[in-house]
Amino acid sequence: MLGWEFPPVFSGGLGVVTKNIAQGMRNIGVDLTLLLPQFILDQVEEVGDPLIQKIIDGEISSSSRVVIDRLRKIEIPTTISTPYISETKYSELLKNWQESFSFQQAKSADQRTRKNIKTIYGETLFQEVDRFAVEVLASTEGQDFDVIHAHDWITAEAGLQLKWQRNIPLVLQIHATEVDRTGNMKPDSEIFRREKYAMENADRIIAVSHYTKRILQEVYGISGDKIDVVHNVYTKEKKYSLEEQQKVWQKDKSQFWVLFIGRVTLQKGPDYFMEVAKKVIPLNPNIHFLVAGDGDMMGHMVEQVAEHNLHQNVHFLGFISSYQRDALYRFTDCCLMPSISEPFGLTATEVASYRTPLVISKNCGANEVILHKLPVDFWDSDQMAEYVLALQKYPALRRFIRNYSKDALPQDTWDDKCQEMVQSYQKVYS
Amino acid sequence: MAQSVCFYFQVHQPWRLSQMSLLHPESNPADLFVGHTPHTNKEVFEKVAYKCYLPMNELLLKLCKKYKGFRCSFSISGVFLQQCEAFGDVGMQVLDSFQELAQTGQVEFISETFYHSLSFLYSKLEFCEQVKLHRELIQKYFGTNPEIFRHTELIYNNELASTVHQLGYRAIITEGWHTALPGDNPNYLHTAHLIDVSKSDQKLLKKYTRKKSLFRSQKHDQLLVLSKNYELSDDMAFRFGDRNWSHHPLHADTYANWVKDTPGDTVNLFMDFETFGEHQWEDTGIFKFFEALPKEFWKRQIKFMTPSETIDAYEPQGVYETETWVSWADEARDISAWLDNDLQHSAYDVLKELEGKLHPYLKSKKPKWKNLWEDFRRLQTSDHLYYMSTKYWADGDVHTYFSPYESPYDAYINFMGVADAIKKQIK
Repeated sequence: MLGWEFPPVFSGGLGVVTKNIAQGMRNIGVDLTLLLPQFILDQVEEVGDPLIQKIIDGEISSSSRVVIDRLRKIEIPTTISTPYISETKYSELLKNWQESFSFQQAKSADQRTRKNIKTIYGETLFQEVDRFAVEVLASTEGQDFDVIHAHDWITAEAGLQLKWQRNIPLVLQIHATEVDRTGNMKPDSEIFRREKYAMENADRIIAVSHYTKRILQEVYGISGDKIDVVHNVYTKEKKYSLEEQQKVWQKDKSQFWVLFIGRVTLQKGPDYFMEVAKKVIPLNPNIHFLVAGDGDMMGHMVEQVAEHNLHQNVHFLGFISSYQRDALYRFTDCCLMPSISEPFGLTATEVASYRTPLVISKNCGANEVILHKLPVDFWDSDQMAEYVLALQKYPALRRFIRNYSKDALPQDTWDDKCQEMVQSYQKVYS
Repeated sequence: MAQSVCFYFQVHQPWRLSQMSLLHPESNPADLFVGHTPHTNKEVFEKVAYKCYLPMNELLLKLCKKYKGFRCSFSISGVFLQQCEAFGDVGMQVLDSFQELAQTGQVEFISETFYHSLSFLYSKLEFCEQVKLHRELIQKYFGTNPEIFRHTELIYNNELASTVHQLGYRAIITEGWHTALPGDNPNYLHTAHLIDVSKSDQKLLKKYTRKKSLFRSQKHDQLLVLSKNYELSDDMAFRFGDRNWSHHPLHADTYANWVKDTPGDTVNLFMDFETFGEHQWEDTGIFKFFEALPKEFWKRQIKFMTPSETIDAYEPQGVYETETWVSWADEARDISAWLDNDLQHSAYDVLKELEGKLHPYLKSKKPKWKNLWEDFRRLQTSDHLYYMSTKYWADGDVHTYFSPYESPYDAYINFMGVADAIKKQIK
């Protein structure tokens, strides 16, 4: 499996999913080799599985090739630091990184890092992606696999090279497309082209939702017969007592909290959240709007608040810890997710699992697994405002959603999902 | 072996609520019952009139004229007849077509609550008022004083039966559900298990007792029960057009064989009238099927009877008894389709609250109070609570099919919006 961000660094991102799939595959007895970008090892976040933790900690093997049970890990040197990177951002990072390393860290760096610095990384993101593919081929020389499982376009090229050079079937899992990331406004044509090319040439595709499957069919022109849908799973990992959580947030009983949580970027629709705030606050000053997260649209959001004089009711929390976040879900009366396009949206299932009433964009794959929610078109801030006002006004509506939302979530585990993925693998051979 | 069939068709259209807004309350319509986007009540009525009411009534009239032995019965809700009055030419045509059927003397009309409501559950007085209003309306349009009662969605228990008995009805229409039926056979006439009605209720009911027909046979001082054969009714109402059904396509001769082979006296075929042309579209062949039925029945010595003829023809075999609610809805056959989740209970509480607030003005002649009572009563129609059901929501079943809303939440929020508008005027 060509993974990213293993172990996870960015909560809620592809890294978490890579980790969960790796663990699930191991649990169900799949002989798995993880091909991973190597850059990330110094930024380890805690991981539940002690065995994997040991691999990460290097306790089991200090070489770059580790074999434990049925999990092998091969690290591939690259400068691509996140699967969400854009081309401009990549060039910037590469430059900064090269500068900082050459002057400050070269001396103290261990052998591995020194070796990396010598590696000639691609000058552009696309070159680096292609170079990464070559590295993958080299690192797996002489090894045989039954199937390659790649994720999104960044690892797809490596997957395709393996498929063609070694004659191994490729299963491509799509977590997000350029269409989602850009809200289908101005998708980057090179990325779009690469995505389409990879999907056309993959033997099978796993989409994280029927919503994404539709995009692959309608925008990318991929045959639906080739696409399997395997939903993500949200597993609640930490639990805090109510008393503990009450210390984190102070809320007046008369207040009604509406939450935006996630990256403050175009894709997540923060603009529409602000539209709702503008409409609702004049009608009911007890309703407060909280923004938890950061992103390139923060400046714009702050300006809006100033312009419309909403600072009494709109609060920016910035990035919050998972502890603060869990507590916040409990105190929030309504979570508003006006995403323009969200292939799955683990955050939504997270919100539902905390029984927080959810007003959610219809363009969100998680809708398919959350029964009790208030679905809206992302652009329909009037309807969102209606729902916020109704939730505030009618306690029975809140009570109902709180009582039922969590129990209606699917009870599947990642092991179950991995079984579904294996079924998808098997279709390649049938 | 069954000797006769008894058809009863439920004819009903709710006054669907107008779209209410919390964000722009100033734009909320004064008429709270225009209907819900994308279709107004008038549009829905017209659509169903052309697909079902007009062609089916034409067919029934043809059958009545052609065959003197053809019979059927209707329970037509008051709100349906109001819509006939309100919706211009099409409404009048529909009303005329029912009146023509009434004139054949081969069709019986049944009593129910004017507003197709669950009022019995929260106010006996309101229930009696609505039954009275409906009786007056049936008298006005069809010139008859119904002897048979049918409660909203066939909701039934011993207490309801006892109340209906006190009101002077001869028989009641129910679901043939095994928990209430002796011997699990709906194809016999039964008597209701009557219980004592409280003194205060007796006093109330006396005021509303129907004027009895002089010719009324005093067969036992009992309320007789006609119970629905849901297998055979649903073959027609639900399964008829289902291509995956093993008996599809169903022909009249096969169906008549099934009826003939049914043990008992009467096969009671009770269904929504909209079965014909609306739930089962014309292209399923439902009209042709129905047209072919009379001959196939007579070939097998099966007669058509109205509910009144049926109760005169047979002797009751045992007691239909249930303390808990029975209805004709969903798998559960209870009242959970209308009164189950928090949303429905909250809406129900609002109805009770409104009843309490409006109670002092029940007899007021002032237009303000008459209008408020009318609005409140239209809000009591059971469909509004049905739209809020989440029981089978995930499966996208019949609740979703009939609802004008995208979700039970929308149904609840809009209901509360209308209730708020009424409350505001009471103050």
